[in-house]
Amino acid sequence: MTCGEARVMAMGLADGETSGVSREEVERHLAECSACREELVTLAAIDRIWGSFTRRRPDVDLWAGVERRLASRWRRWLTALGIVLVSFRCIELFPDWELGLWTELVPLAAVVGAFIILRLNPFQISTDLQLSQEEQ
Amino acid sequence: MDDAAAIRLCRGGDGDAYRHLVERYQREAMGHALAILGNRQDAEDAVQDAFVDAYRALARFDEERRFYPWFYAILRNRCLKLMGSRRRHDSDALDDVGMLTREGAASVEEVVALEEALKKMLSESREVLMLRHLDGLSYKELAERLGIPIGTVMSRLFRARTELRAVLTTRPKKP
Repeated sequence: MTCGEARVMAMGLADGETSGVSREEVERHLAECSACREELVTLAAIDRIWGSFTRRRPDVDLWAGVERRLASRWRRWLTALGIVLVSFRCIELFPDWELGLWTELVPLAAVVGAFIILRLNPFQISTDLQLSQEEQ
Repeated sequence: MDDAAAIRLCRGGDGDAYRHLVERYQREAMGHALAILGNRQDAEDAVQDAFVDAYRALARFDEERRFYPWFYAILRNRCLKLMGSRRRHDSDALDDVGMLTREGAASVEEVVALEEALKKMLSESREVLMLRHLDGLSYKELAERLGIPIGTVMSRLFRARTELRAVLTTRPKKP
């Protein structure tokens, strides 16, 4: 067992965490290694500081902001839907247009647009990966 | 109203029920966001966005679980995302907002010293230390909250403790 491993495991034992920790091995290492013993004594002293503090929980009222953000996300979806419908209607109104160069530019613009949307992530799609990791 | 009942109502489209959840957990969430971001305005933004994300994801919430640990993963995600964009756009990272409340024998100077030390630390180290020492989470709970294996929790916690010791011992003493 290296000093690094012994220190991490000894810290675990001091925290009352025994799973995956070999107490005998750690104790054997500490009995022979004064550097590790000193390291653990100073870390334990630092740990005692925390007993005098609690986490600050600021007084806030965030509901109005949450409600506003919920509404604004709906507005974004509705705007996107509106743009799609208007575009569709425009295409429908002018069925006899000579497309020419447009047939080449439109797919290119679609690719660029898709890239920009993925990059900006306007719909804030971000929680899926984290949630799936947590569920595992 | 308990969390499970509120969540069931939210799934049925009752916005007021979600208000209960926001009001119940907003202070705790602010405390956690402050520990990661160290900036009140950013913390408020992150918490609000996280509540919106959570509302959208409620359909996937497993009612057997507690709400807040599940929500914490979303909040943490939001905080890290915000921190990433803040690094790119501006550097006024930490403000003078307090993350700690004094209890018992601690003096004002000790509060200031620990606050200053925490702000100098890596966000990742600050977060794991505060979850362990202020919220009293076990290694298993830390692993769940942070989405990492217990072995990584142990090494991260050890690194954070040595980092805190280094910052506290190199702190210039006032004359």
